[in-house]
Amino acid sequence: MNAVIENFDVFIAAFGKTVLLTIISGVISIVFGLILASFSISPSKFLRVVNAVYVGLMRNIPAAAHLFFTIFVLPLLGVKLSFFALACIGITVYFSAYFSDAFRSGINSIGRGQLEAAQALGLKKSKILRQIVFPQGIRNSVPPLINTMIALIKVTAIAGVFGVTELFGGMLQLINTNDSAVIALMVFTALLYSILTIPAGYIAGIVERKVVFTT
Amino acid sequence: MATTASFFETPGPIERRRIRLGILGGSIPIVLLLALAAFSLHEQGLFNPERWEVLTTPDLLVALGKGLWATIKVAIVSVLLSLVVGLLLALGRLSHRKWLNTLCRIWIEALRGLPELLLVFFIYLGIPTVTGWSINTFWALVVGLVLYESTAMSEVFRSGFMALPRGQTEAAHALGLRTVKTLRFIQLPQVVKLVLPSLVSEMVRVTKASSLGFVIGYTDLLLTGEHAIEFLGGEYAVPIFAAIALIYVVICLLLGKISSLLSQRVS
Amino acid sequence: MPANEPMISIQGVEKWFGQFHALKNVNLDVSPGEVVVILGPSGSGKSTLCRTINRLESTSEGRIIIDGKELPSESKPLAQLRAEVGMVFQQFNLFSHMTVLENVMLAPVQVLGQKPAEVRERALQLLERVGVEHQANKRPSALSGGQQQRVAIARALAMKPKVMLFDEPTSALDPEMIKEVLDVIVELTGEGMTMVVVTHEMGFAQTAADRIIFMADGEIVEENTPAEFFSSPKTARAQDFLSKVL
Repeated sequence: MNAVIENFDVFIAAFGKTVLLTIISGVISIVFGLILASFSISPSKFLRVVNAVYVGLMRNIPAAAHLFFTIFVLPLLGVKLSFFALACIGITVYFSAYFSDAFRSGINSIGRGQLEAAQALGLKKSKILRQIVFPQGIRNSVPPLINTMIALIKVTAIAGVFGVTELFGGMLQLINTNDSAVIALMVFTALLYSILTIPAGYIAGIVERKVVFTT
Repeated sequence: MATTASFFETPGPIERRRIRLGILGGSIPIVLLLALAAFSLHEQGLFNPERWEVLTTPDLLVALGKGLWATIKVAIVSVLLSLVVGLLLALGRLSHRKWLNTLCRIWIEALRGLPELLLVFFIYLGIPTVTGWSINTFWALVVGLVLYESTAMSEVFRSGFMALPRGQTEAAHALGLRTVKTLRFIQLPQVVKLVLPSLVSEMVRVTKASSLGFVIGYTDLLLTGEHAIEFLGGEYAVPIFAAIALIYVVICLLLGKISSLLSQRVS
Repeated sequence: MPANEPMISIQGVEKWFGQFHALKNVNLDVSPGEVVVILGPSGSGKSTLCRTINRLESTSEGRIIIDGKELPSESKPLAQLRAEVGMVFQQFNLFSHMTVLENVMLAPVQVLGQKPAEVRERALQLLERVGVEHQANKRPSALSGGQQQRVAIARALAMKPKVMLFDEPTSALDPEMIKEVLDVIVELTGEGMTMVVVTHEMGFAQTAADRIIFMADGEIVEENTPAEFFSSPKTARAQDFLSKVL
């Protein structure tokens, strides 16, 4: 327990870095995910295939392999960036595919009839997107988005192995110097991850019950 | 798997032309960027066929094959154990005994919020510390993954049980079958059929998660790759990584395909 | 001779769903102000035909002309034409994220560019006319099926359409709500609206229709006046159908 209290500031700094890593790669992944999802509903078959190929490839490469590539292989190719930035790139490449699917499931949960009613009223495609697809699709996407975000938080731990001192990386360093307090250090780390993930899971559940449209 | 069916109506010829022009215009900067990247990679000799010939080296192929087998071994053992533990957890969640139900719920929610990597470490470092037993990397990885994946499987099972019509158990009880026999002969066979597709897609997740073995020094596919790159030199990093990524993608796509075939057959 | 020009003209329409021949050489003219009721067993193509009239279903062959203009294949002119054709669906299809009033106001504001204040007044009048004015600020999910369908009719009427299409408007309703919706539709027939109604309600067909179209297996099998169709149908298939439903 002493090891935890003595190194509280290390934990706080590492926790902050996990939050930062989550926010930066999360926001960029959401933006890319939204772009990819819009490809998937586009009338152009080419764009739909681009989304399907990207998602099919990137989702099926393990997160550890993604980070291995960006942090280990990219520098060999002359990319000179910090471990933190490289970790952001790896997580973004991986999670853009998941966010694309999250948005797509939200959009696909809009009933066919909603679309047909809007078409029958004479709304142009751009207005259908703005008035019907986005308001309903985004709201329906919120629960899968939160769940994907939780998965992202958990994947950031892998960056700790590749030299980023986020929560997991910080823990590894502390374990190296305090090997008698391994359990306490790991339990406290687990607690800090839970602070981020468990409330988010509850919010997703509540949102699912309250907000999602069932048509 | 992403589908490629159209969401909107099929566009008319004029619109189709406009879309094509839009894509052409929009892709110019992307194509330029890719060309730039390809050029700088070319400068480094990445497209040199000799670099890629490394993938035909028998020693490397044997090593990758061993790595792949190590990955598959972890995935299969983890999935089987997760199935058993997941089923027990699901039954606990469905139990009428309140303490058991609550205990299982807390267990599941606590574990689901943690990174799998942390759970693997809990076992790898924690077991020897607490008990003094030594644990090898294979079992540390398997148990760590099972801790996490079994909670996911339990949710799959639970939704399967809840999807069963009430009449099924009532009819069984009316025939005089006891709870355990009802479970064994009436509920389980139906539930397994119902959840089979999602269980296969859980296998995709376990296969990917097994690459965390890389971190504790279990020589799986990914770690074999790293060793190979360190041994052969950084100039072979891209071909070797590409081969590993491709193997993962092929395995996962195959499992995904099986899952969707199964769900078609079930429905 | 503009008076005789049909409001809707369906000429040689064919429709394939893959291998399935859903519409076989359908020809039909509907005059202005005429009420055409389409009857037929399920799977006869009557709903598909109704949906081709505003191109929710594309046709494989043939032409559809509404008020002298052929249905375009480009989405912009198609949207303009659809704005003049009202449609009421079996499943109501009210926009679930908008209130009842917003549902009715959406298209006049967004498609016709009318002022929201004016549209609002007209929308409230329409809601009063169909008897749901007290639900104006509720979400569709808070309404009964019959109420939702009446809102859907008001939503279509708010566009002041030249033609109204009804695709089995009462099929998804509980029996006690069918009458309240049919009453609204019958009232419209008295106002000279051109209407195409696909329905299973024989009583409604008998009283409200100017002409009955009977379809089976994707073909128009019989065209007749309601009086004659129900008393002495010309074709054996119509006789068979009527003997089952009446």
